[in-house]
Formats: sequence, structure tokens, C-alpha cells
Amino acid sequence: MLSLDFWVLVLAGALASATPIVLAGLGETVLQRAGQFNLGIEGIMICGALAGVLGSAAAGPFAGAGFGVLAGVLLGFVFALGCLAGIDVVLVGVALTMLGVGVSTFVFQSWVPSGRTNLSVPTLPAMSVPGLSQLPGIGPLFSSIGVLTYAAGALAVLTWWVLRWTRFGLRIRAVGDSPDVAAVRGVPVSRYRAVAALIAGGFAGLAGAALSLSAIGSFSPGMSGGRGFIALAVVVVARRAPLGVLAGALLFAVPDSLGLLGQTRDTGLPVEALHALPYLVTFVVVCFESRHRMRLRQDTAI
Amino acid sequence: MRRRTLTVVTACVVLGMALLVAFAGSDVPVVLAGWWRGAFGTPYNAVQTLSYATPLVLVALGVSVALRAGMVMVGAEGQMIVGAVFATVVLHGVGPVHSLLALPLGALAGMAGGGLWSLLSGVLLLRWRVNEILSALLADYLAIELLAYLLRTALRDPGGAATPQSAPLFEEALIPRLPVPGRLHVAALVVLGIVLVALWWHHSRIAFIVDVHGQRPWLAARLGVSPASIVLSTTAVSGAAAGLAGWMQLAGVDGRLHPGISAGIGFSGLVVAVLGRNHPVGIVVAAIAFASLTTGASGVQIATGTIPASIGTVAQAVLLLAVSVAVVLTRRNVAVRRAQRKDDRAVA
Repeated sequence: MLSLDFWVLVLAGALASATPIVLAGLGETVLQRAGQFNLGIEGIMICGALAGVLGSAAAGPFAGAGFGVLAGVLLGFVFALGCLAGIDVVLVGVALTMLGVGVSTFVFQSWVPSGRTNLSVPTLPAMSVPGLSQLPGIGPLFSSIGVLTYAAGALAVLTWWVLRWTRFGLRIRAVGDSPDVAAVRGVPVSRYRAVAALIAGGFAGLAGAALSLSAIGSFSPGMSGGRGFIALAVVVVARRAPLGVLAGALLFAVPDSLGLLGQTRDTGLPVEALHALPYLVTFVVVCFESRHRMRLRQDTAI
Repeated sequence: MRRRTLTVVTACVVLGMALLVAFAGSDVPVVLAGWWRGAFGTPYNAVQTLSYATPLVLVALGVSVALRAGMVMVGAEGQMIVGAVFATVVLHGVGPVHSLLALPLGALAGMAGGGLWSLLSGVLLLRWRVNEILSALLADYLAIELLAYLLRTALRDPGGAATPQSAPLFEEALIPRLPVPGRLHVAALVVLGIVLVALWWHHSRIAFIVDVHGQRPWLAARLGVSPASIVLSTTAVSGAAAGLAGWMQLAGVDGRLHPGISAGIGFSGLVVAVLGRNHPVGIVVAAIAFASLTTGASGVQIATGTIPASIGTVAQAVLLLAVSVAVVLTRRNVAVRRAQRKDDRAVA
């Protein structure tokens, strides 16, 4: 139906669009393996996006990414404190979403009062994959990939390795699978959960920085557009496996990129259908995954 | 250790707000005075606060029913949108009729739309155990796109404004305003009536069974109540309440369908239900407090000139955290006292 060039463009866009979701999803994977669930990723991401822009304006794009991580860890700390105080996890998440949206809008509006033009800051560089970018046809796919996309891939492998092969990872999983047994064996459960919350926060903050510093170089309130919630869905679909998050994120990102590029051509579909496509695909896959899990549980019960 | 954690949380909350105010270069007394003036200072502002609180109460009452059944309803935003869309379609469809017909028709259409949209999550939860939080969050985004599509095509104002919005509703379909300064409509009294009904329901047998299901589903099943009936009915009630709120915003405040019709009320409704501890009176108090932070924030912006109105959202999040901490504290105190009493009795 459409040419190879078009699909190469779609995939290249999907890689960029998947990056923040992979990053946020990896953090959430660690947290869920530790037996918790953060509904506030959306709020952390948007703060990370703002911190990234502020940091980049002050000291360059890499410092910006660092600022994003710092902001995320700070909000992860709020999450950990809330959970330690005994507040319901869902509540802490909702509060964190509101807090993140409110604080980022507040700081942004104090920094750039309405009426002034939005600042644009230096963005993170992109690199080509040597060798692959010279391939005929699919070469453009590898010609300019953002540094954080590489980082997301590397971090996925690192997260998998840490969770699978290190003592720390084993303890995180133990705390999540059976907190009572872990506590009896002398693993400080709440401390490991707090550390997991900080890690999840840092990842979500970096995801936010990826959102604002990869291509645009500026911040606008609401720019995360529900991607934090999508990351949650992706972790469910990926069955809490770090490498599965890579595939799961593409599930959202390919329709997302297709929707964006589809607007430039006549596809016969309304724009809103293209916008809704990634959410719809995620929705359907979450449903099938839940059905699959339910059948699995029934089989083992018998 | 626990007590210390709580102190740290409270200290962080207070410090955070003070830092924000200091960051924007202002003093706390000026901010507080601005908040009071914006929220309750003039009759007009006080009525505006009540007008903001009205849909919050309605959504929160619905959410609280689902919460008691153990379901977290984050989908009220989408349900409000679909309710308002249904009401618009039906009202534009029948054309100008007497308001005695148009008002109930709009209300019913709104409730039907909200209820049906919420059943999407309810049925999926029941059939395939799809997490209701995830499905509702995703359904919210689908509802937003559906609204955008309809406003660009079928429901677009033929009068041809550049902004996407529907044609205004006919005169008889609009909810009459109360004779007060500000945009408070007659349906606010209906909400008050619903609060009274909710007060009665709160202590009824059905509410008790819903509670039992929320805490121990198998026990409710033993009592002869199927999980399906509870999940579907509580979901539908919460969706219908949100849809009704959608119609009230449409016919009572805005007068026509536009992209911002739900305006974050759905998400805030969940927070108000939690703040009000699922109790109707608590919900009314919480909704007014919550709304006062929105209206008061404009007052803060005017009074200081430097603090943006988004401080309202921050204050709402902080309020949620602070109240949650307070709830945990009191619950713990009650538990400790009960344990002590038991010990005393054992000694005696």
C-alpha cells in the first residue's frame, strides 16, 4: 500500500517515540518486581521534562538529562515516604500525578510568564549506526538515533541482568514475591521497596528528559500526554520483564508514529482515529494479556 | 519509627508549600489573604466556588460507591465526556421542546452515556479481569479523541466558528440559573437531593453488602450476592453519576459542547471521594475545600501578581497527601486504643 521509505520513516519515528516509554517502563518494572505500583509516573515524567529543559538551559543537554533523573529521584522519594507512612499505593500515585502536573506548570509559569515566547534549549545529539546506515533502503532508519534511545536499549539489558543475576535483584524479587519470607530471611522489605521507588523515579525522570530534550528542546505543560500511564500498561503487557518492555513499548510507539506520519498523507482515516490508534492498540493488547493470564490461572487451579 | 516517618512527611509537605511561595517571591500571609478573597471573599466568588464544587460532589458520590466495592474509578473524565456527548446528540436530535421534557431528557441521556462508557471497564474486569485502573485510563483518552472527532464533523457548529464546538443548545434545554451572583444552576439543588439520598443509602443494607464485597468478595458470594451484580451495578452507578455531571456542565454552565467540557473534574472527583472518606457529608466538605483551592488560586494570582494560578493544583495534591497521612494517624491511634482496652480487660 505504501512504499518502503514510508515504513522506514514510521519505524524511525517509533524508535524515538518508544524511548521515554521504555525508560519509564523499566523503572516501573523494578518497582513492580518489588511488589509496588506507581500510578504517579505521569507526574514524575512531566517534572523530568521540565527539569531537563531547565538543566539544559543552564549547563547543556547532558546536564539536562541528569537534572531530569534528579527530579525523578526526588519525586520517587516522595512516593517512598508516602508508602512508608502507610498511605494506600494508588492514593500516593494519584497525589504524585497531581503534584507533578501542578509543580511543573507552576515552575514553568514562574519561569516563563505567559505572553513571553517559550525558550528553546540545546537538545541531545543523535548518532548513526556505523555500517547499518549505509544499507540501501533501510539505511535511513539507522542514520540518526538519539543517544537516549541507545541508552534505553542498554538500560533494558542492564535492568534484566541486575534483576536476574545479582544479589540486589534477587532481593528485590524476593521482597515482591513474598515479603513475609523475605523479612524472615533478614531482607529489610521497606528499605528495598524505597530503593526501588527511587530507581523508578529516576527512570521516569530520565524518560521525561527524553521527551523534552530529544527533538523539541522546549517544555509545554501536558506534553507527556498520558505516556506515564501507557508505560504502566506496557509493563503489564510485558509481564514485568525488562526485555519485554522493549517490545511492549513499540506496540504503542509504532501506531503513535504511524498516526503522526499518517496526518501528512491521505489515509482515508480521520486525524482523531490516528491519534487514538496507539491508545486503542494498547487497550486491546492489555485485554488479551489479561484474558491470557486469567486462563493460565484457571488451568493451574484445576 | 512509624511516628517519625509521619512527622517527616508532614514536615516535607509544609516545607514544600513554603518553598514554592518563597520561590515565586511572595509572603505567606498575602497568599492566604488572596486565597480567601478568591474563594469566599465576595458573594460572586463564593457562588463560583460552590459552582465548581457541584459536579465534584456528584462525581465523587458515584466514585465512592465503586470505591466501597473495591474498585478504583479513574474513568470519570471519559464518562463525563460521553455523557455530555449523548446529551448533546439527543437534545439536538429532538429539537426545541418544552423544558419540562428537555431537562429530564438531557439528564437521562447523560446518565446513559456515562453509565455505558463505565460498563466498558466493568465488563472487561468481570470477563477477563482487566485491571480497571488501566482500562479506564485508556478509555479516557479514547473518549477525548471521540469528542474531538465529533466536534470536527457531525456535531460541529454549522454557524462556523473557527474553534471546535457544537451549536449552542436551545433555550429550553438550558438549566435555569439560581437568582444569585455567579453561575450556580438549579440542578445544584438536585445534587443536594442526591446527597440526602446518598446519606440514606450510606446506612442501608445494600451499602453494607457492597462493603462486604469490597473487603471479602467470597463472603458476599456466600450471602448470595453474585460478584457480577455488584461490579456491574456499582460501575454503572458511578458512570451514571459522572454522565449526569457531564450534562450539568453542558446544560448548566457552558451551554454547548466543547473540548474542555470535563475540565479535569473526573480526576478530581476521585480525589474528593477519597478526601471525603466515602461519606456523603465528608464529600460535600471536601468538594468545597477542593473547589476553593481552584477559585482561590486565581485570587492568589491577583493578590501577588507573581504566583501563577497553578499553585491551586499543587495545593490540592498536598491536601490529598496531608489528609491521607492524617487518616493513617487516626486509624493507628484507634487501633492502639482498642488494643489497650483489650489488654486492660484481659488483666481484669
